[in-house]
Amino acid sequence: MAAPTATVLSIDSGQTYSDPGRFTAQFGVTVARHFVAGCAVAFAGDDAASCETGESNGIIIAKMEWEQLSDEKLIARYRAETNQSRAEQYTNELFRRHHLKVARWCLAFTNDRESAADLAQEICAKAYKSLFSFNGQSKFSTWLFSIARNHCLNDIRSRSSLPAMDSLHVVIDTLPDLALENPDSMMERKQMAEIARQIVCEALEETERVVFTLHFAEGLPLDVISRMLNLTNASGAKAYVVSAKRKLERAVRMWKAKS
Amino acid sequence: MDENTKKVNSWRDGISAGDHCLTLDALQDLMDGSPSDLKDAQHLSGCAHCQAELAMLRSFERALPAENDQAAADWITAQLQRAQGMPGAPANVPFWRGWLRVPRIATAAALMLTVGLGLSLYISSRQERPLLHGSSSENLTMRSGDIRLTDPSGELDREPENFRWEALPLAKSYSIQLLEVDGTVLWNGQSAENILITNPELKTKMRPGKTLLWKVTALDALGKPIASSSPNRFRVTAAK
Repeated sequence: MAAPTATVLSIDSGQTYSDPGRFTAQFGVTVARHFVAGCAVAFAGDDAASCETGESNGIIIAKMEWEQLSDEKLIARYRAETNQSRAEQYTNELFRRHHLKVARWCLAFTNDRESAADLAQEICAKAYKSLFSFNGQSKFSTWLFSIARNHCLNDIRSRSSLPAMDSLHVVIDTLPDLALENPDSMMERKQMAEIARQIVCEALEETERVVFTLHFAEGLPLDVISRMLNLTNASGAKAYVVSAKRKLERAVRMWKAKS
Repeated sequence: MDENTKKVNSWRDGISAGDHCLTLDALQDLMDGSPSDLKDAQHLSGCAHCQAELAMLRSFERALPAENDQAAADWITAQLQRAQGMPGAPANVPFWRGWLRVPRIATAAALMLTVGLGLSLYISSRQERPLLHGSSSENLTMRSGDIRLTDPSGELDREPENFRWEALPLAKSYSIQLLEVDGTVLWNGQSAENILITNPELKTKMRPGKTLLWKVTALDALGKPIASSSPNRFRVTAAK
């Protein structure tokens, strides 16, 4: 079987070499033979003969191999790898792919690069430590999202004395009351929740619904929601909360009249 | 349970996760356009909680650049890569991490740490607490609520002439923030003393009838926060 030829080698400096001979001559390293999608991959055709198969120290893994491996395959290789330094290369590549996502996510929460960097470091460290528990049934990015979401929501909640949480109580206190004035029609909490769910779904538009839920159920401050959802209108998420509240008041009035 | 709590709970319950809410994997499938079950799509259309989860997942996956955050995101990414070592580079493992992989050394280190901590707690419990005046700002931990705000607070007939708080001996300056109740910062300022005279610009932010919050952060000589206050609430009553 003809082996596909990988023509790109790279090292951490970002320098790229199309000629492995020059690469090995300059750096004096051993390039490992790689297996991509079940095929043995040798570098740059004939020069491959000069490459040794290697479990040696200082192994450099071809960029092409990194790019072709899915996140989940990187994890599988990380788990199967006995060489510590090489195993870490797999996880480094895995996390490198998602750094920007985590960075932007944390920036949405803090709007300050130093605190966002701290949060991002904590998330990556947590994910790295829990990598053994990743069962492969989810996408890695979905799994990482669950860690990032929980970590940032906990961080927000732990700072519950901040004004954002105060505002939550101020605004939620002004929502219309679902309870009917007729004392005979006492409703169970479950029924009330179901009515609230229906009213929210029917009366609000999608963005209003999402903003309303993130603010009232998840406790996210409005400025975080604005950045997270990339709301570019002048007052961001606040405008959606205001219109949602107005619509809910109207919907509750109508529902009460009908009941 | 009072009526207001009941009301708030009913709204919260209506938009919180229920028994039939979708897993993140199911939401991911829906986002990828390959729902494993048609019922999932039906549930999503009628569930505010799942819609909000999906919006968060989408935001994470797309990593859309918000306005002016490209440079900050690049900086954070660089920090993360520096922290873990770049792919292709020899593993950048701190020497002590290697040591800690040896169980005996890790156990000995943990033991020493525990003994050290115990000793320091024992010694500190036998000593009188040092006075705040005599301690170094480096030993302080920033805590919300460490600064007590005095004025303004509550309902006011007119805009306050100044903002006052209790002085913190180690503070070299104070940062003052005026905020809306949702946390939006309306005004930022600094003062070297534990008082801030309300300037005309600040007064324009205090619209009659609008509840506002203010808080103070104490800074050391390097401008590093050393303590902060809890937010105080006030409102200039509407002109009659």
